[in-house]
Amino acid sequence: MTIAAIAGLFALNLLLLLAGAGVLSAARGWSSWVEFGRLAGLAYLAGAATVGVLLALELMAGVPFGLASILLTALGTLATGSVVGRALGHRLPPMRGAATAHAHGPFLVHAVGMALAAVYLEAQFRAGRLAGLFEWDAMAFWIPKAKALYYFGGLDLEFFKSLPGPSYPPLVPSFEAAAFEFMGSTDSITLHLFFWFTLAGFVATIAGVLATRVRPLLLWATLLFVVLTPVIIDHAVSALADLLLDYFIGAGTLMVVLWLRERRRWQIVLAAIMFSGAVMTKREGLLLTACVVAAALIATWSRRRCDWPPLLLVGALAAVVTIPWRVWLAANGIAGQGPQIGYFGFLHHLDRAWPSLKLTLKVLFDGDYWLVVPPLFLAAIVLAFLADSRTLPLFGVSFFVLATLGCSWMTMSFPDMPITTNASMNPIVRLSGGLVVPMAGLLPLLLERAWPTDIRGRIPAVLLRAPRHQRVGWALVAVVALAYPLTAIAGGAPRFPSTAECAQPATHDGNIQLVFATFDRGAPALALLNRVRKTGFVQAQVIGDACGRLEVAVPGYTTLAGAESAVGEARRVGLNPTLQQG
Amino acid sequence: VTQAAKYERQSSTLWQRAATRIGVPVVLLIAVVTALVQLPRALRSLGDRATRSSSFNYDDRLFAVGNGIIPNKQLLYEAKAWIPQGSTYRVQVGSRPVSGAQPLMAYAGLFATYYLMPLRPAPDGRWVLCIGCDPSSLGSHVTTLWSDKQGSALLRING
Repeated sequence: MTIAAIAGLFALNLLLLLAGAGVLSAARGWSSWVEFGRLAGLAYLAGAATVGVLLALELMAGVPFGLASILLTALGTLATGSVVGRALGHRLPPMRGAATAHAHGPFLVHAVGMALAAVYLEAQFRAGRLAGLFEWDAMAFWIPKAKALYYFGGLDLEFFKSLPGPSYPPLVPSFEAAAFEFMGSTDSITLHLFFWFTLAGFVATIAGVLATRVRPLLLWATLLFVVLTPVIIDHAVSALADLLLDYFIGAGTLMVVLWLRERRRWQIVLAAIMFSGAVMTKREGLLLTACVVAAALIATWSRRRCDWPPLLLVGALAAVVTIPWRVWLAANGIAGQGPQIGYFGFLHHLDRAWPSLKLTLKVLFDGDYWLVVPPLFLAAIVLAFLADSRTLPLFGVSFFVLATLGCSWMTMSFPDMPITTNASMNPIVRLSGGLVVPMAGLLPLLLERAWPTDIRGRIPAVLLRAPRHQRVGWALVAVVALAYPLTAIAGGAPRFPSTAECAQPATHDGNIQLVFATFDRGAPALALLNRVRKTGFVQAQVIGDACGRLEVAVPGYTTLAGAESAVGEARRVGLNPTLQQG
Repeated sequence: VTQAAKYERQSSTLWQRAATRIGVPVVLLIAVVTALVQLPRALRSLGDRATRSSSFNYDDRLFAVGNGIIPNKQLLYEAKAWIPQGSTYRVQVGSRPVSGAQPLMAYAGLFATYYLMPLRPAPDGRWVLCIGCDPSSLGSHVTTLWSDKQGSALLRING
């Protein structure tokens, strides 16, 4: 909850970005630093996926977890990526090199989009900074697993076996434990901000990758449209794995569809990395990855001879990454990752088929969760078809159908799971994010394909005449981005709660404690308690406080005057208590 | 036949072009309007959440979800303060009436695991977080380190 903890999280995420720079260097390199800035989001997510998978694999191999292993893994990724990139001829550009690919369309529209996204991200940051831990799954197993890694330096069998969700892969606990290392404590409050970085990384990924491929109005309108849906607004900074999984699936899907159009090797490489991250984030990652790969296979049926091998390789790599975890689970007697009734057990529960499908469709279309994103996605598919595009809309519709069936299969495969949108009983709302979040990248691409070439004349002339000079745009972004925090600060400076709040000096009547001393351990507290009682304060007791300390105190004073007179009595017998508000 | 097919293709192309010329701006307009309506809503909702979080005490924020599980959070404060590192504890939720009982009290063990780490729970732990349990069922060598009048107690089994 301190500035130091927030700074620690910044450092950790900077480290992930650096690792991602190594991955990007090996996969494609960059021709200018402006281009690197544009692709920083992609680098960050690639770095997070790579480091996350490596940390998880190290844990399974028994490598002790700690600051050293995190730093070595991330910096090792950077170094290895840089060496591979150099070997492949991806040299670093000069610092003042000119950008080779410019953002599509008038920069002012990009600037407005960036400014709105910045304000939204700032609001999410503010909401996450002091958020209490109200997420059930985070309390039940994500954070306890992370604490186990932090305190015991590895996959502590006692905790990993006994906590709920024992078969969930350890990528998220690794990140959370890494966050604890960088924050210097198990601060489960500030931890929420780690997930803010992943949201920012995802927004930057979609914006950066598509800025040169899609009209800015299409890009920012659809991107903001998706990230402003109720599920993302409410859960973006939740300490849960669901949205991180969706970001990996979203980025991987974007890489796959770009590869379907452009056939660049780096796109398929980064898709494999993102999907590897996804399958190590949650068990559902494998299902969603399979849906994306299967949709790509359907969309490339006519070119299967040359397109299928790389796509199948991506799917196979994602599946292979899960093998060590499955081996670890089996070796330690933990039940596997699949549904209790088996992958095909749903065939014995076909009566649940229609209710399960109806539930998925309800979540997708009733607007309470994802507004009108899925209907507009389907409309964009139809429009792209009408504009004679084939591969992308075919991919879109296949992915939609397969992922919808996949989400329904989950409900079908757990016969005890009630068919409800209640998140505490059925994860369908969170799972549907794996279908909707990738639409942030697919929607603008589909609309770009459908964009009528003669519509240009209908765009308000002011947009086309808008100054392309980037300084104006950046100034706009800066002003808007500064306006939000300044407005928030005008309502009062940010608070940084600390353990000092466990001992608040008494300032008014009502529930006052006479505190003789505070201890970290029980023995000296008991010794003082005996001494205090002998002096006549027979109601003295040892009270645990919220910070895990022991106070030797007399509680129950109701007026400040009465408590102050007790302080005087205590001083006369050689004690020096303070008054604290209870 | 060729002319008919040609005419059909032309009319289809015209129809398709008209559909995209209308459809794309409509879809875009819906996305823009929705985003512009949602953004202020989101800022308001996130701002309210930030204000609410900021108003919590240090311990309220840390305890958070535990407020719906543990009848008296002082029990866990006492446990955190008293149980020495390396010792094990257990949580016993009994059937005795507990004042301030919470609907999710059965999950007290789960929350205690989260809250008290790195302390380890164990079925035979010497330290007992008793919520509505019967201390006499733990034997005669039991010391009550803390208890409230509502049915929660921190016990230590001696020997």
